[in-house]
Amino acid sequence: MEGAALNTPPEMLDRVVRLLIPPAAREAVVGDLWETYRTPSQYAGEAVRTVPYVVFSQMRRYFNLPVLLLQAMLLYACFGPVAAALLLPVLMVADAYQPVSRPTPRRAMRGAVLVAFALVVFLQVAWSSYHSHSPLTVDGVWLGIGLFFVAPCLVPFLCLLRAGLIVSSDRRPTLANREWTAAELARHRMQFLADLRGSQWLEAAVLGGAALWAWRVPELGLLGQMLALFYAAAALFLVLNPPVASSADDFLALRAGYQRDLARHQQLRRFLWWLWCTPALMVLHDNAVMVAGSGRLAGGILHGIAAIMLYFFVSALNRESAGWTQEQIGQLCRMRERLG
Amino acid sequence: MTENLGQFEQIVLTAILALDENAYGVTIHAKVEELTRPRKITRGAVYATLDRMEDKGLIASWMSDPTPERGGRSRRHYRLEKTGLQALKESARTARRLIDTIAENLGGLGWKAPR
Repeated sequence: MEGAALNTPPEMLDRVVRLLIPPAAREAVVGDLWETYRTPSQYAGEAVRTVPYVVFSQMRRYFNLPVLLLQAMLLYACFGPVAAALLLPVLMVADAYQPVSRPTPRRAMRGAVLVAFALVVFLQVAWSSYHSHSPLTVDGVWLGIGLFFVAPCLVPFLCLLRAGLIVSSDRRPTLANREWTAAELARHRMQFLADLRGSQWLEAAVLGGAALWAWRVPELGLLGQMLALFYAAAALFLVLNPPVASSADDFLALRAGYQRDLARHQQLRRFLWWLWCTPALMVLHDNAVMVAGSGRLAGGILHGIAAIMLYFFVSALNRESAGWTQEQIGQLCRMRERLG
Repeated sequence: MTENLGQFEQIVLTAILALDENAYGVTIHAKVEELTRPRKITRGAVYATLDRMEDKGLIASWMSDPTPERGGRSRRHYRLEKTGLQALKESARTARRLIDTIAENLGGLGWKAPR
């Protein structure tokens, strides 16, 4: 294999193959395909046979049933069963293609601007559909015109929010060094797990408090009781499953264990954020529909804006956190042992 | 308690064991095809199995330095973990018992157990 001639696949074909292979597996799989390259048709055939397995494997790796159920609940409540059935597989495939690094600040800002403008389009569509059922009023027309100014007002706010998340991620400790001794790595891992245990206890306590609150608020009714049960179950799970270091005999085993700890933590974190935001999103959506339905369009629109901003915030949090985790896993993969 | 391995997992683990330091996608696939001859195995199936076994903690992986014949990309190397080695040994013991039993029962028909 070492002495293979530098016969490379056509640029266009290679670009398509790179695009199809999920980022987490891209470097190793594309490298293997390059190494065994003979002709364009052989390369394309090999890629066609390989890609589905790699995509399904990544889907399985990132599959998070509790998160998927929460997303299904949210989609069902906001857009109905058909949208939920159609969008869930899309979300699963999107998970497989999640990037292996945090987004660049430029990209993150571009995302914030896009969300603000998409929000205006969405609100205009929602407003038009309500407006067609109600008499044409001067207030209604002004509101429609006013919606065009929502995006320019929201852009700085969303960018600021996004910048705050980027700065907070920048401050997180990273595995920047290329060479570590086994003892250094073990210490770093133990510190990571100890911090995790602390934050898990804290979050369990907050979840317990939220469960009590939801149970005691009569206005929430059945939803409150269900919420209380969800939160209590999550708190119990966190208390009963503290992160524990698996035994590792050498540097390689230690590194693999640390990678698994990071991946597990990211899956749990993702679930907890969705658990926190799903009820709030559902309540905001219901309020938006109810308030707009009762003729107070401005109130409904404000609730809609709040829901979309909350969704933006949680997605950005997840994106930053997942990117940071993937970066750390990548650093661990490339880490070399320093003896002594 | 050792992990129960599927047949394909046993083959992939055996390939990693045999390749030792040189176990990465291309070589593992070649070894698996050699072990399963005349069956053809797609490389994608090997990747999926490697991912699954890595998640179970049976194997560990790391990236090598980039090489020019791979377009400046790194190789993902694999190594058996202690649990993987135990599981493979357990599977080998089961296979040995099966071979012995089959050889015992078919011995009179001229069937010979592979050495």
